[in-house]
Amino acid sequence: MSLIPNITKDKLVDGKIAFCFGLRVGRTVNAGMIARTCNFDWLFIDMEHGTFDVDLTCQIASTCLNTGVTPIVRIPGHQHFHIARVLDGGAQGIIAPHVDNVDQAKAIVCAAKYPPIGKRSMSNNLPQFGMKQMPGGDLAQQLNQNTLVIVMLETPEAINNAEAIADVEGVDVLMIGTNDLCAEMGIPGQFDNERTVDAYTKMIKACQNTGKFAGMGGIYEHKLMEKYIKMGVRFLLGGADLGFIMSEATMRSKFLRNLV
Amino acid sequence: MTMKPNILKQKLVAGKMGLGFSVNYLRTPDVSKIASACGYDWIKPDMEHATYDIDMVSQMCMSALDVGCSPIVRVPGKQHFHASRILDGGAQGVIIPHVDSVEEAKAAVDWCKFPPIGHRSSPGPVPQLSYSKYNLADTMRLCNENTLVVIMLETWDAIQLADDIAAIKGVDVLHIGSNDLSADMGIPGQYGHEKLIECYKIMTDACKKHGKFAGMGGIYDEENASRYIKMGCRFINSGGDLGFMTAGANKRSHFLNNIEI
Repeated sequence: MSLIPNITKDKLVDGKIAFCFGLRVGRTVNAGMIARTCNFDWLFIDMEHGTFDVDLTCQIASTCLNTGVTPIVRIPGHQHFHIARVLDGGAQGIIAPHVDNVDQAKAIVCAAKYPPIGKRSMSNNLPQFGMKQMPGGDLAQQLNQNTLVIVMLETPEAINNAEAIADVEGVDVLMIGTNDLCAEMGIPGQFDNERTVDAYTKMIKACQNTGKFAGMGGIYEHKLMEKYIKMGVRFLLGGADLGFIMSEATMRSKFLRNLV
Repeated sequence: MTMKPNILKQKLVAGKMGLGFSVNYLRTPDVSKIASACGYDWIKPDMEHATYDIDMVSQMCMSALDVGCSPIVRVPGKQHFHASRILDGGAQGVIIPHVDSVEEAKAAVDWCKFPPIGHRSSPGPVPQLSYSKYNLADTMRLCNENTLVVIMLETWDAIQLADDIAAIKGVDVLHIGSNDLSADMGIPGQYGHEKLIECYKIMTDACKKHGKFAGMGGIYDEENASRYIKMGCRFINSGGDLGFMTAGANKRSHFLNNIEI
């Protein structure tokens, strides 16, 4: 078994969009299969706002690898163990929330990438290689290439630092957490406010100048999704299990109540 | 109030529809909150077609009791412990699938109702009564009144027994499993087929005659769902978590995959 491809990275490199199926209430290893059947590119396992522990996260991520969907974990904090343990357990990328400056971005890359880029600790027989034992050098080189590091910009400070953060070697994607950014700017929920649009413009330009990819989280209104995608966003949150269940379930109950 | 009302039974008695949310994918106790927020009256943790063990289902049931969303569990088989253990664990009703004889329906009542109606074993304090201390006679009476026994008819032969099954004291709901019944009759998925319409007619007539409630499951299109509700179905299995989730997800991915970039 050779390295399992990172479909999401491949799509981004090809200039396509890559969007996720988010897990909030689901906690079974069939999540990747469901995301694949519904035509999503990556699986978003959210340890920041979900209660998943490392063990459950890695069982879901490891099973997901064989579906062709890319398992990506949002970590709850920036410490190295949050990053390394889920990457050792099968994740093909990590999303670090609340990154405000270059030093934080560098520390995250340091934990996510093996030398010479970072200082991630070596292990072997990893799910990303189908548990096959690999020569250490090959393992490090291939996983450094194949692991996505996504940093989230969620404050005006972070947006001002976007170009410098994008320039950090090993950072692949900058992603705006739109809910938190708008809240920090005093315009909560105003995803179409000119200041929000301005933040997206700055982030997208920073990514284009440095060869990185631009990401979007928290916006699910179709018109706005389309607007930011047309501006250059390529990596995005596509919705989560709970939201899909509740919107469809509510439509069904209304439909049935109105039949008689 | 220490006795948790059975919201679903109250609605059925009032002649209203009780909408059920089938649980096959989720596994956290907040599922009743989700269903309630979406407009449902009851949840149906499905032990016939999902892999839940009894402990997980019991946790869903116990937490549902304080949400005002009745936990009604579909059990995986026709042994007494399938029904009695989950009733001890918080369910306000059980759905027995694939009942094919009057004897099986009588046995189901026997497990689910305390004497004098049946022979359910006394479990001590129960979550449906907030674990409050009641004397045994009151415990048995309150639980018997608030526990729904739902019998699923899923073959043509079972439909022929609808009148006899509806007549059994302690049976509350007759419920057609439209998918399995249509498959049994050689018309799988043909929810508007005259043979299926005839089955719903036989079942709803039997329920009206004996003062029982009629149930429908598996039908969500306007033409067919309207017909069977108008015929009298009020216990409505309205769809489930996995179906809702994939439907919503497919709409989103279809939209995103068709944006021109």
